[in-house]
Amino acid sequence: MGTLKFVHCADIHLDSPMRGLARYDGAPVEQLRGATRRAFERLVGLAIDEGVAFVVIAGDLYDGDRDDYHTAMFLQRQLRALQEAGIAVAVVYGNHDAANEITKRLALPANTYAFPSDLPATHTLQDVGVALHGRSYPTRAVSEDLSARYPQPVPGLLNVGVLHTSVDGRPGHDPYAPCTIDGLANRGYQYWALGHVHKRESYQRHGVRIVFPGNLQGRDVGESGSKGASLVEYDDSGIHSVEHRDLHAVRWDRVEVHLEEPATPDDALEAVLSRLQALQADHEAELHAVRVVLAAGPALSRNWLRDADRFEAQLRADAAAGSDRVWLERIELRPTAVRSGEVPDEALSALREALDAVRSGTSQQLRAEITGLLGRLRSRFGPDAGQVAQLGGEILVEDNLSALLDEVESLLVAELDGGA
Amino acid sequence: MRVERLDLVAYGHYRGASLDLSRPQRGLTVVYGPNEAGKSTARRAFLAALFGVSAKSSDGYAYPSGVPKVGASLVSSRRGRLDFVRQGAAAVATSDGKGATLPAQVLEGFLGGVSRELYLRLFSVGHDDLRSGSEELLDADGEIGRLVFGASLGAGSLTGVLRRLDERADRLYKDRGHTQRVTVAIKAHRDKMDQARKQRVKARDWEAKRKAVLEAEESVKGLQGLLRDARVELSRMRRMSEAVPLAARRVELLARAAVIEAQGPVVSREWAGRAREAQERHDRAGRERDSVLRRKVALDGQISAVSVADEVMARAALIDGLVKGVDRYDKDRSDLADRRVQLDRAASQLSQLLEQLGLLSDDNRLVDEVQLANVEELAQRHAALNAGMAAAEEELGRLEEQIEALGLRLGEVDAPPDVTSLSRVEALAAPEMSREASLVATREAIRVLESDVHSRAGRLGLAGRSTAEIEAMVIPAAGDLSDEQGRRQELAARRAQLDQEQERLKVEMARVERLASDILAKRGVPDADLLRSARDRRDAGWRIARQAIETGRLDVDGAALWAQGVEFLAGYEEAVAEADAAADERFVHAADITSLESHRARLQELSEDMSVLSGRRDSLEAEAAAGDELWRGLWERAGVEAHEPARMIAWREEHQELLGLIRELAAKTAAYRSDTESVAAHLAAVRAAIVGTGNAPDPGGLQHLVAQARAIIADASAKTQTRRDVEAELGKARLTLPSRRNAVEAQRKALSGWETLWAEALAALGLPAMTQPPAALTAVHAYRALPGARREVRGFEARIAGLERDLANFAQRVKDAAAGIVDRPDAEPLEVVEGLRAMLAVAREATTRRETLVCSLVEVDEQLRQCDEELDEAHRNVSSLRSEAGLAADVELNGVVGRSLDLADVRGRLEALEGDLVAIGSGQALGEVLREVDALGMTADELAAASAALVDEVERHEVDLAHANVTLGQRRGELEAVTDERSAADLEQEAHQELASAVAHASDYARTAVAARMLRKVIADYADSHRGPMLARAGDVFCRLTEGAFSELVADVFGEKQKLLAKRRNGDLLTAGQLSDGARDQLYLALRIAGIEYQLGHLEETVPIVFDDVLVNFDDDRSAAALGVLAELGRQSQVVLFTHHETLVDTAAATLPEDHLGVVRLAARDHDSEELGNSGGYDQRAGSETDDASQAVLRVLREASHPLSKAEILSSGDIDESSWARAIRSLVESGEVRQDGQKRGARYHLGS
Repeated sequence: MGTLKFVHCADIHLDSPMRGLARYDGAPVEQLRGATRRAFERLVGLAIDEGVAFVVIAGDLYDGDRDDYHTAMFLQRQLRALQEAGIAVAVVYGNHDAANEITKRLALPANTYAFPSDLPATHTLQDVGVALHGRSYPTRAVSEDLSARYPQPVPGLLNVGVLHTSVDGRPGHDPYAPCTIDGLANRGYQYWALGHVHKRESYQRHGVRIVFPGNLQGRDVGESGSKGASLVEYDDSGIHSVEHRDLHAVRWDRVEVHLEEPATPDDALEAVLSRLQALQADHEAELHAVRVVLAAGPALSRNWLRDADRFEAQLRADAAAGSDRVWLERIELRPTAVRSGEVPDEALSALREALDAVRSGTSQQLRAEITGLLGRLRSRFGPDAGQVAQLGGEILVEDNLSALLDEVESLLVAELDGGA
Repeated sequence: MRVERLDLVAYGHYRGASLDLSRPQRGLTVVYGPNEAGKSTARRAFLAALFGVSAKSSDGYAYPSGVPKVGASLVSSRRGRLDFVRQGAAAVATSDGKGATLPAQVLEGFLGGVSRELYLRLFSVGHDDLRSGSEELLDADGEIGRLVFGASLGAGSLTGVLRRLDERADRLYKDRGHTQRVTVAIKAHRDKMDQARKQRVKARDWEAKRKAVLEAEESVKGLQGLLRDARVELSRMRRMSEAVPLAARRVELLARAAVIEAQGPVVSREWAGRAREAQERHDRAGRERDSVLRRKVALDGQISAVSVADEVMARAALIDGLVKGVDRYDKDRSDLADRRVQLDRAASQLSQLLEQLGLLSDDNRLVDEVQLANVEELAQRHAALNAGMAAAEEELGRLEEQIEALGLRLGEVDAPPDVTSLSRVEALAAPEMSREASLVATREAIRVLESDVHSRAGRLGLAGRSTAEIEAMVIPAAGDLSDEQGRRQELAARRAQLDQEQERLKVEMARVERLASDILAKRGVPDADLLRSARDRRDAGWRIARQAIETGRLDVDGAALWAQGVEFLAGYEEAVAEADAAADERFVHAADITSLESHRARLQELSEDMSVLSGRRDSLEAEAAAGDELWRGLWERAGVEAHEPARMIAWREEHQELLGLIRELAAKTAAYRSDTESVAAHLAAVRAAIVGTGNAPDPGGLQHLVAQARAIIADASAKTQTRRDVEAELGKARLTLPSRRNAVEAQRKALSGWETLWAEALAALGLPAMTQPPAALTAVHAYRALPGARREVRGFEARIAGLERDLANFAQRVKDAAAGIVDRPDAEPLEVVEGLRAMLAVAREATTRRETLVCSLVEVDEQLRQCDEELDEAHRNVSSLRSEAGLAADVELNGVVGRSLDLADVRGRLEALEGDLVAIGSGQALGEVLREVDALGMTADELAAASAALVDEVERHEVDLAHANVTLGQRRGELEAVTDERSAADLEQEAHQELASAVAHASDYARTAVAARMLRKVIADYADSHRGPMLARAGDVFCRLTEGAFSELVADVFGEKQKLLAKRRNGDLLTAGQLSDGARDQLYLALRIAGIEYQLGHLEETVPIVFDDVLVNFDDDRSAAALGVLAELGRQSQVVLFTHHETLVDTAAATLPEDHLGVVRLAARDHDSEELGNSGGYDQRAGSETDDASQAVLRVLREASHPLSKAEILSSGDIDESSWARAIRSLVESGEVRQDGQKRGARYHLGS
């Protein structure tokens, strides 16, 4: 057997929407649609172009209970394309798949093997010298160490463990199927194809490669940077190389621009546009979803805040004119303003003292009034109220009252301290 | 901090101007400039000096770098003096003479940390601020909070800010609104999500549709099977329909073959074919031979008819050669003529050369090339010698002129004076210059120190005492003071403890007394005996009754007694109940009484404690009094009134500082005196030294004199150097003179030698002795051309003779060729040749024709021979076939052949027919087909009927299949419709965008709404805490500004708002809206002044306050009052009023004390002398004015390569939009600028 390849991916979350992108004139709406599907199509393209022996999907093909058969049909088309190219596919279902109706109903093509959820199983691809071991999630929440009961390695074959797990815990991920890196390394397999953690991670213990390829397509600014899958080369002697391949359709980024004083809003616009151009030149993507953070001194902050709507609209329009591949998720001004007490201004000091009183809770009534306002505002979002903070509305949560008051202070200082 | 002087180094049109703002120290400085004088420029420069110059400022056009340069002299009571200049943001100190860059914090210190924005907002009040502030009074509807907070905050409309925030918040969200952005976006999100949910294809729906498709597919498959069977049967019937007639025909053909075989001998079909073919070939060969024979006879006739001219053909080669030579003959004739013309021309040239040299045609004078070259070289050398002679003479003349000029120049340079002593004195005095420069600052510092010492002494109550007395004062030691402070603190603590104790006792006594009086206030205690007797009587009654009943003695008496007892008992029960209740109360009372007694005892104790405390207080007070006496005694020795220790410790510290200042003052004064004397001594020495050099010393200080001395020394040194330079140059020129003269002489000698050589060379050529070089050179050229000319003549003669020979030869050859075959062989050769050529062509054509015919005849003979052979062969062939078939010679060959072929034909048809049957059987053997036909046993008609029935069946099945296919299509369409509809994921994506928009709007709303709420809260709180003093001060100022027309400002409640009212002298209360425009301006100014005073009170360092034309709408009286108020403000900080109204200056001079007013006048601009750098009309020092905006516009247009719009000009030139209209109008009217287009389309460029 010469050198062969396989692709390891996870956390596809098909048809999951991109989150936090507010509409605006000139936003490249079309490019945003079906990003997770296009990323999956790229994965299939990569597998075919590279002539891989098989594809491993380590859980979360679907996105929770979003059981739309459109998704199923799309998936079937893609799996058939792999079948026509003679490529086998092995899938473990993850926590999101367990809740999904499609998982139970979809008839998979002959090239695709789904691991059972009741017991761990071994799926042997004799002609390419591989034994795949895995188990799907029976329910959404799995608290036992699934890997503990995985089968013994098959001698003479490349043994690959496929597991959806948070290992020993990862921030932002539910602690499912807990296990340890060392525990996995000692199972006697040569490669562990893991899923569940959306950030790319790779370990090597005693020659065993343990890889989280990260998700295929970032879905909000928290999942920024390149996203894709791992392309693995192996032969009789074991794993040769593990190489990451970018497959995202939409790339999320956070661009932070520091502007020294004196700078004008025009300087800021120019600096941001230049960074956006550089970003597009450096990274390939159908669409760049970008959060812009402007760290600005007092004068620029004041000028910007006084007419923030106009400047933001201008920046979005300029970005759209420069490229139809950029969607500005949010423009966040971070003023490095002079704090109270440093400026000999009685009236503004009074303003800052009043804000401090609300911050510290001394001004209880006003604090209650503001938290009441925030509560009413959040309640308007009904069942979506819980998502508000994640979607950029951090200041609408009472825990972040201080951040809201910081923004209020910047706004008021900008309005009041403009000079004659 | 005060700005004592503003230096306009290069600012706007100002160059090197200064404004003296040092007067008055306390009061008002008025800067007056008429229109166009540069008042605005000066105000901008004032700000630029304090806060830096923007690199984009257009005020720098007068400076090479384009960035204006401005400086100032600042004085602070805490920080002293600071002189600096700045260009851009960086400032350079000039007061120390080192020009070091000032650290930013130095200037910030002088400004007390006030930023440019804060300064502009709080401490700079312009006419526009007054207008907008006055409008704010109306907008705010006199609401006190906004006015008080606004006045403290400075410029800007709080009402406007609040309105903006409210409007924005309202656009974003309202609790019950439907059209606000947040609500709209949330609704859009929900709608999209609903759509997405509907759009999702549930798995079971999809499966149901998929199942319907599968069923339809099954149905189609079944129908296709039936159709296929029917078609197979139909096909079989159709085959049988074809096979039955073919089988019948086969039987017929078999019978026919039998008949033919019975008729006679039959041979094979192949033999019959060959026999027929051989016979036909024999017949064909005979016909072919006859035809060839006819063609041979015809050819013989044609050959004998052709005739050929053999004589001509014999000379064919000769004639062809002549025809080819015709062109050459023609050319030679033409060349002969040309050569003869050329011969004539060459002969003529030769004659000319001979004539030029004076020779006969056969004169062969020998002149060699050496002689000719010699003449040429001598001629060239002659020219060089002449040029050398002229150059040498010119050089000599120039040198002589130079010597003469240097002599004259030496006479003109004066002898320098002796400056040795002056140099020495200047060197000694130079270091003194910095000392002299620092004298002014030292003097100022001494003055400030004196003032400080004076004011501090006053504050310490030592106003009348001299510094010596102050230094001699015996002040208690710091330790004594802190001891005293400790003692007093201890006494105070003890006193406080006593007070606390007494207070506690008082409270306790009061409490105990209250408890006692509460107890006493209760109802009295009931009588115990009465209670006992009541119980006894009740018990007795019961006893009697019980006895009566028990003994059965209840009789009438008993009954009566019972009845009595009952009555008696009832009364007693009541009494007992009452007594029981009283007893319960009594029990409580008993406890109370016990408590009361203990309270009374406690009271006694407390009152005793109190008297003990009183005793302790008395002794404490006595101790305190004794201590105070000692304290007073301590300070009496120092002659100072004693206050409590904390104050005296502060006094003592300040006294120590005062002593420090006095010592510093003494040191500075001594240094100042010493410096002054040293400077004066050097001044005298330098002055004397200047006189010693024959110059009159300039008036002025050491700095001037040293500068003058340096100028004198430099002048003397320059003169000495000049004389040395001229003398050196003259000596050098004189040394060169003899060599120049020798050069001229040498040239002359060379010319004389040449003339001798020239005469010899001419003689060798046979030329006259006086021949000049040009003529001699012409003769040399002629000698060189002569042999060539002779060679040319001879050449032409030889070529003519050759040509004549060639022509004669050709004519002879023509004549020979034509002899005997042409009538006139002597005719013109070309004509004869043409005739010969035509004859040769005719002869050649006849020869060709005859040759062709002969060839054809040979071919026909060959064909005839072949035909004979063919005929023989055919005959042999027929004979061979007969013998092969064994046919007797008498058997008729054609009969056998015909019979054999018929039989072969029948068999062939039979074979084809059987082939067709096998084909119909499609794979069956012939026998099987024939058996199937036999087995079917159907006639053709029966077969047709069966086929028709099958056709119907097939058609029926086809219709059913079509219907099933339609159904399948529908089912598939339904499935595809589900899968092709717009993706739920796309809709969900859109829903998420709406949600993100809603969140963004909600965040914006939260920020905006909370900002508005906070601002209102701050305004209210600020007003609550500052309203009193601010209104009182603003009211006072307003009263003065209105000359008492209004007496005060008061607050009153209207609904939920507190409003500001102005109270007239007659008691009427007016709202801001009811005031006249002027009074409202004055009210706003009063509020701002109160706010400025309040803010000044919180500054670490005061800053100058600038007012710009704020009094333009005030009448004279109120202007005078306002000037008084501003001058009063000037006691707290420097106040500068810029104005272009001269009457204000007069009013100020008339109303303010002289030492409270300073006036700086900017003179009107002199437009005719606005060249940059010209000093101009500023009446005190310097300065000229130009229209800044106009200049900036012109500058921008000069630099532009194409017409510009208004916006482009404003941004390029950093021009304030308010000055645009006036500037561009005047420029267009004057023709300096031309305008194309109107309004927004207008573009501007420079006029011609």
